[in-house]
Amino acid sequence: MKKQSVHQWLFVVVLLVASLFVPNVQAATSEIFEVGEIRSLGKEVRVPIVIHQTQQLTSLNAKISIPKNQQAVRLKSFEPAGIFASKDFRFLEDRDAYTLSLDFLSQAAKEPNLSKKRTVVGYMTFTLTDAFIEGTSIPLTVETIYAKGRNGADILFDTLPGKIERKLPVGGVISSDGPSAAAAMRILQHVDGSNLITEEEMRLSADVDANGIINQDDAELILDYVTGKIHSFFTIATIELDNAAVGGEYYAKIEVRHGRGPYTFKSKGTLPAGVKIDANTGVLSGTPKTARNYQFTITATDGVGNTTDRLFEVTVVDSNIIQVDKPSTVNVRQGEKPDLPNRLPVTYKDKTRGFEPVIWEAVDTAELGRKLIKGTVGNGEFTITVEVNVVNENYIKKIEITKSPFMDWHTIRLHATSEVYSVRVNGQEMHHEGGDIYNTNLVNVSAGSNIVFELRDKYGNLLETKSELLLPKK
Amino acid sequence: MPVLFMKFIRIMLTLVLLATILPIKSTYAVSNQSIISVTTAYLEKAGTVNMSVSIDSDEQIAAGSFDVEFDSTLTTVQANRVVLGETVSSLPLVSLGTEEVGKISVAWAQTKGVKMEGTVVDFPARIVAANAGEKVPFKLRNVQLYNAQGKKIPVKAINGQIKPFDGKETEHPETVGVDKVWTVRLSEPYHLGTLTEQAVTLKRGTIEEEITITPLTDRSFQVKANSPLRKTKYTLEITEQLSSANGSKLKEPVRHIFTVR
Repeated sequence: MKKQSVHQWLFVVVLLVASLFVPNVQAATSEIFEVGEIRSLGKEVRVPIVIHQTQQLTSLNAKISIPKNQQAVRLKSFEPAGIFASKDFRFLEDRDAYTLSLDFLSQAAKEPNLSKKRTVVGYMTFTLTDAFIEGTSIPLTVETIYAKGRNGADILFDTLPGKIERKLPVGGVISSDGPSAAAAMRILQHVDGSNLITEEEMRLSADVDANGIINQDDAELILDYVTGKIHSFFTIATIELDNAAVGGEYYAKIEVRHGRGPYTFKSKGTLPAGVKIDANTGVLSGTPKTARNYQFTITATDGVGNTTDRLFEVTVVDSNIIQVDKPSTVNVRQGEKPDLPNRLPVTYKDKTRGFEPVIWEAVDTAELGRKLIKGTVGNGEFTITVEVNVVNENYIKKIEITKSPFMDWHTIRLHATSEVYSVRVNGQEMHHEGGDIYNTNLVNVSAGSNIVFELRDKYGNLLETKSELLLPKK
Repeated sequence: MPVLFMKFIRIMLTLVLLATILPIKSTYAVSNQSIISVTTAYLEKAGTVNMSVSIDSDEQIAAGSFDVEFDSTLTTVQANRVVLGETVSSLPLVSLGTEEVGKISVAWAQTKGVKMEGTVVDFPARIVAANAGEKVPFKLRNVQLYNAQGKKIPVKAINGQIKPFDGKETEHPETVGVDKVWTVRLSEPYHLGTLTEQAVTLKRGTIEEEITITPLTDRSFQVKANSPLRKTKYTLEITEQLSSANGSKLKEPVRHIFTVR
């Protein structure tokens, strides 16, 4: 009896010792050393260095670098911030135009208590030269990081490298310096129609909630960012999910915007039976088994712990059509009627392929922006959505396709507007021949097949995807 | 002799209160500049002071933002008692941030520019006994004003503070009537934008009376209570928030104590 009691005590002691170690392991994995990701079209940019989930720190030694084989970006200075600029830390730096070595050592009798989930270590200032081309980016690499915390114990930071992108900052709208009250004002002017935002880069910068429409919500979020009520525009950009059919392969991706990767995803509620979410990619896939309506919330978390969620609804139908090929995004000029396909390729229950008519709901093109339009396929059991992008002008002026009389290729010429910076056709880069005209020879395509154009602006933003039926003239 | 003395008293009555504003520089260069200022309040012991941030601009302002930073170990500002002021509270788009300790942030936007005059945010600040007698600065940071074209409007930011009164105190030799109008004359032109109810106050004890301030010339203005004064002691106070036309602060604050008969 006494022996059993000793064993019980030993067991309790072992459990206690084990429990002392477990939290330390968890803490070590959640500490993050982050170098900021910043966008700018200006001549100078400040990039924050931030540590997350770190309570106490006695020393911090880090080396951050940018590539030496480039002329676009130069490191100018580093400025410690907050407690790191105080007498609690001794600070030494070693810096040239490409590399920054930081060395902080606690001078306080006790380890300085950072006491926050997020502590800014300081700001690196970079000079951006004329060689920094729009749409490109420069990586900021964390070469080394050593840190010690309470009682001199090592802190094992997860590192998030940074980058500087030659783009308009999210929420900047009219300023390279980032979100401001002036950006919110400019959005209100767009909303009341007095001063429309038409340029794609500016539109993407203004649409901070990434729902495709610039409205007062975006202006409110920008003001809340300016006043520190929110620290990120991290959001789920996927507004709706397509419906599914029993027995059909289902695939949908939850798109996120304005966060720091890597991302994780989880669902709450009931996913369609047979469908799972990939926690790392946000892809919903599988073969639905039961016809009914499902509601679930997807929560996305970014690399520094910001979270965002959205409620989705998917109806699984038991239909003869089990899959519909989703049409690509359609651009339409403001006030005009979009050219939507009147039939779509489908897969039937018996796995055969065919075409079914589609009836699209009415499209209101009075307002610029991205809209999801529902279509009913076949006998009405299956629905699909297409993205309609209401734009200020057509980016494509004319497409010329000529079949070579001697060779097995088609010569394609595309006349674009001046906003267009690059064009690809079936994934192949078209040659810019000057005067907003692009050309290429396309081999291995036959009359009756579709060719797909992708037009981008100088920042790399997708302006338009257009599918064209190949009907060559000899 | 009595005649001369009476003349002296009359001069005092018209209140040559003021108080040298130094240094003397060119006057008109910044006279129309927009101003954002935080209250400077005087507190000798523990207590609560009503603070505010005011704006005065002849420019057409369409959007703006600023932060007020203070040492939260010296003063306490309760987030739920920070309220938007008259100039922005009715705007469709305004954000008030109090999430960060020691910081109040305000941002607003509208489609068109308007002239703004009045308070933007009000908040009580409490000083506990342990910190009584300390100077507690309230600093304006990241002050940005924009016109409807998105261009930045030049703005002068005047920081405030809570501190014990450290200026010139005078007592009026005679009692005055219930409808007394005080005329304040300055030694040099003042900045009209800084002539606000933050800079000029009339107090009965700790109670602040509603007043009307009327500019007379570029060196003088009148102060009148909106209601008849009571038969007791009052303090007319002019803080360093009042600045000269060239932007210099008052050399020292002025308190003039008088009794109503």
